[in-house]
Amino acid sequence: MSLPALPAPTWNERGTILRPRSPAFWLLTFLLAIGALGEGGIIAGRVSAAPPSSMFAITLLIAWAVPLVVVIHALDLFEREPFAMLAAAFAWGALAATTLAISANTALFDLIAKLGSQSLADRWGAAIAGPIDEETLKALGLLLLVLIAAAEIDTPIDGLIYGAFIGLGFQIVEDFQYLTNPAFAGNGFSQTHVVWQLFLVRGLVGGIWSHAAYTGLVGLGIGYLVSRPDVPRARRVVLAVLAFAGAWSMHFLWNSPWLENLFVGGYWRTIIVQSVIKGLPGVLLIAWLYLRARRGECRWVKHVLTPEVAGGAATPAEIEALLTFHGRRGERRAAKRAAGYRGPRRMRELQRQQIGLAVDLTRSRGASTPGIEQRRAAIASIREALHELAAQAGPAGGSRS
Amino acid sequence: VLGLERAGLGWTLAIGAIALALAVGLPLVDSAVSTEHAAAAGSVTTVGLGVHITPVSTWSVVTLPSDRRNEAQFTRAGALVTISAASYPGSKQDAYDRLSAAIDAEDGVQIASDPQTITTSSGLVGIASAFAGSTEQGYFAVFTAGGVLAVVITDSPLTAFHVVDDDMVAMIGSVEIRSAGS
Repeated sequence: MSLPALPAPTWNERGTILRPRSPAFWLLTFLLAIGALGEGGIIAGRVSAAPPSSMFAITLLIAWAVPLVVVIHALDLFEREPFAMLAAAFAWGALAATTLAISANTALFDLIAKLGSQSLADRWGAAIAGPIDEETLKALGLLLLVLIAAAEIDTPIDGLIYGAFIGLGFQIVEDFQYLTNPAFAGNGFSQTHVVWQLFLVRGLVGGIWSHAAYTGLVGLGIGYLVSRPDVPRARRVVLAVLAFAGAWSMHFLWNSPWLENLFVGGYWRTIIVQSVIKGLPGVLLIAWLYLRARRGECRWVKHVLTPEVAGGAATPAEIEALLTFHGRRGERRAAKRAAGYRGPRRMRELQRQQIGLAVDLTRSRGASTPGIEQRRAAIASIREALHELAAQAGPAGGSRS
Repeated sequence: VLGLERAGLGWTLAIGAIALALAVGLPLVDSAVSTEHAAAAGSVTTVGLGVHITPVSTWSVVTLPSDRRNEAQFTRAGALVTISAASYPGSKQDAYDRLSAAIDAEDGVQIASDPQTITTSSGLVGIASAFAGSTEQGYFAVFTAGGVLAVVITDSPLTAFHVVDDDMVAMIGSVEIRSAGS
């Protein structure tokens, strides 16, 4: 079998972050070390100066970040990214980008005040300096990852995920600083309720449409640039630049003083209304682009697995179910009903093998390889085990177990 | 070179150059551009009515319009320290309560800590607290002595707070109210 022409993900063999022969690897390592000294020193200083507030802030931010990590990681339906690469992306955002941004932001603020005016710096400094410095520095980390392990960024969605991890790392460390600023300052301003109040603003209200979203959009553009050789280079470059401009604009809008006097009526109403108006459009744009990219991948998986129906490696219903989390869960629930409590685990294995088969077929361009044959055999074996479990469960299935 | 691959070397150098330009180049340019009204190191600024403050030397003095008497303002990296003096017959606590209520009433800003008693380097005792919003953060403090009220409000963009925080606290701690003739 050979695969016909459809815009196909490359789904290359696994890349690795540990590539000591790559110049980009050493630049990444060097800047991460600088970041660990810079930002690590700041974090350690906060923790030792204001332990209760710092630990409370860390606890809140971890609790806030874990669901986001799960959601971002799950955005890739078909080929999960390796932990080491995701950790490197997160570390770039958390350590290198934040450390470099501190000196860049301070200098740019000063320059805006000196070359423009104090009121310009006061009102527009954050809107000008934040996007210029921070979006650029975060994007540089993603470009380094591309240079080190381009094989891993083989769909636009991969770029989105790595970008979002960089943004999330940046956001968590930035928020930690903001949350502990009052506690860290002199004169004993150390109170956990301040941390809580700031967390509500920075984390819950403002966190959804912040750095993870901005850099996710940048990543979507870079992912498109490097993973779609079938598209003319000029078009890919233009789209990547537009994605960066979009992230820049989202950040600019968020930091700008626009709308600050438009809504009155209390602290929370002001914060929430401003956040939704400034943040929601960007997040909706990213969601739309993501769904568009995912639709392409789904079309491809369906296309690759359909010929496998004849050999029994997948049924049309199973292929459809693979294309959404909802569908996969539905299949596992059906397996529980039919084959008892062990059914869902077996079905999960079956789905993992079927996805692996789609990825392997893509990599081999439809040619049969020993690995693909192993997948088919594994699928047949799991299917047999499911049938046996269903037979043991009897006509009423596993609904009583 | 050094056993490294040639592929990607140019891009890596370009990325390193951009990072260097932002993190090192911008601060160099900033220090090369002169500050029009830099505060002299250790200089004591007279605000009026016997109120004085010692700005940190890396901060600039903001030129205020002539109608804003008994007031001084200093700036760095988008942060502002504003100090004002007024005749005030009331108590320190009363002044703090009024200021605190006014700040809390601003949209998007709220008081972020309980009031703290502070003592400046000259022995002046005042009440200070912190406020926070989604894009700014700062401190405010009130001092009274001899029928004179000194109010200090420091306000920093969140992005610059880490850099200017110590300076703002130091300036609050430098406030003096000297009685007439002293």
